[in-house]
Amino acid sequence: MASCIFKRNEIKKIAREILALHPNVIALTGPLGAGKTTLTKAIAKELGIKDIVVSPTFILHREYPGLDHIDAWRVEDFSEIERLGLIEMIKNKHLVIIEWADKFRKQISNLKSQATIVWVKLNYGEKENERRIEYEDISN
Amino acid sequence: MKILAIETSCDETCAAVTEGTKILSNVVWSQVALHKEFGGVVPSIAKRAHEEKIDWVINKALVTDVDAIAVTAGPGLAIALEVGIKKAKGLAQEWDKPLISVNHIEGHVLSGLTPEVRFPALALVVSGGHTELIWVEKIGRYKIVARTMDDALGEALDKAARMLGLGYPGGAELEKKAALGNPKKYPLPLPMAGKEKNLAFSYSGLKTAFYRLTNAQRSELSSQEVNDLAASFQETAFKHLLRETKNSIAFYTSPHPSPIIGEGVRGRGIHDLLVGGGVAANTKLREEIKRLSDEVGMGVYFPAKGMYGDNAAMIGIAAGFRAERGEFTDPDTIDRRPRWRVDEN
Repeated sequence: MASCIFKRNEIKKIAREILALHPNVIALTGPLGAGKTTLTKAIAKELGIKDIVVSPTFILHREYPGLDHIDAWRVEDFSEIERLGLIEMIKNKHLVIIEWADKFRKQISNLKSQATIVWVKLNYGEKENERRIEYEDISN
Repeated sequence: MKILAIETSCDETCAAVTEGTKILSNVVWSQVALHKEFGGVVPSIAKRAHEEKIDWVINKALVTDVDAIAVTAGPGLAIALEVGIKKAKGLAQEWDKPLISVNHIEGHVLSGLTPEVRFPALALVVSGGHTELIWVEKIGRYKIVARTMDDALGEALDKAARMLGLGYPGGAELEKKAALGNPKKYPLPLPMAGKEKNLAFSYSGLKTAFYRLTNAQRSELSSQEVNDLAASFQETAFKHLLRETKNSIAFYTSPHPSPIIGEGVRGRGIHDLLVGGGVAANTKLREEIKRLSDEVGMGVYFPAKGMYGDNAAMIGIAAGFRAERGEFTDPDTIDRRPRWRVDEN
């Protein structure tokens, strides 16, 4: 898809659009503050998750019913993410959201035979409450 | 009762032996590695490779026989917690000793405990992964008053450091630069401003504002600009923390019922402030907390050096109190609890 601008109060619509692609893995990319965790919160809400979704930067991984939230910011090697049980998460039909996924673009893309992967690129917009988003489903 | 405590909730692999609040040994792998106890050649083992380090830290910590085993069951990274739990369970069964499962946050709450602390108290736990205010009715009785809605303070400082191009560890580097800078130079938006009735922390908005500010620079930042930016970020980040802490104190010491805290604790008051977590090692933050505690007439208790970051001694201390209350865990049913709240059983 081409990139589009959306406002803060339109994030629910964006979350629904992405979920409509039935992703197994959502690979989020974009600079600090672009809205990766905020989008994850909106997606979690659509999935009916009541817990507060917080940034998993330090902990690397937080699990919710049916959702696994991974943050690659502090990860040095993709094997660390594998050791979190990534394949099991996918096999168990959890939605896996990975922030800073561009850090391991090749390895995540290699999963496309096992999972529907949607790459989401977020960036700042012109105005403070706006962001730019681009997303695509690159699975087979 | 001498307790062998094991802690593997995130990055650090730790073991310690405690007796009540007395610390007989306190081993943290990264600190050991720094002291080059390996005859000058530090084995480079990856972060969170707990399986490879746990036997070593336990052997180092076992300066005496023990009567019980304690382990952090949560909160933390599930696969990391499992390593400590598996080891603790194995030892408890092998040595036929009771097993105590401990909450990591409780460890931080009690990390600066001394006999002088008066209860009820308010605990502030600030680290890379946690930012919480906890009302402590007495040891073992907790209620979370405020938590972060997005980023932890330590994480916010780390990311700010990255935005300024500073090295590792980000928080410590940011502190160094901030000490040389003007905290008023770059005003930044105070988080949760206008939302005083909500007791919560939030750092993602501040992160965004800082990104816009640092990204707007055309040319590379000068040394003084970095110092001033670091100081300004810290200033606002700490101001937010202290403000929520002060608001929490007001709720607990107010004679009026608080919809957030509830009737049961109205008027119970807070006598002292307990502080824990890696970010509390920041000298400027401690100064600000001390200033607040003086202002409200409360005592404040900080951990000793070596007890700020994740460690097993604080887990052993917490375990000692749990043992006194008869809170032991069945080794057959102990399980990791990655989202275990400190105010949950």
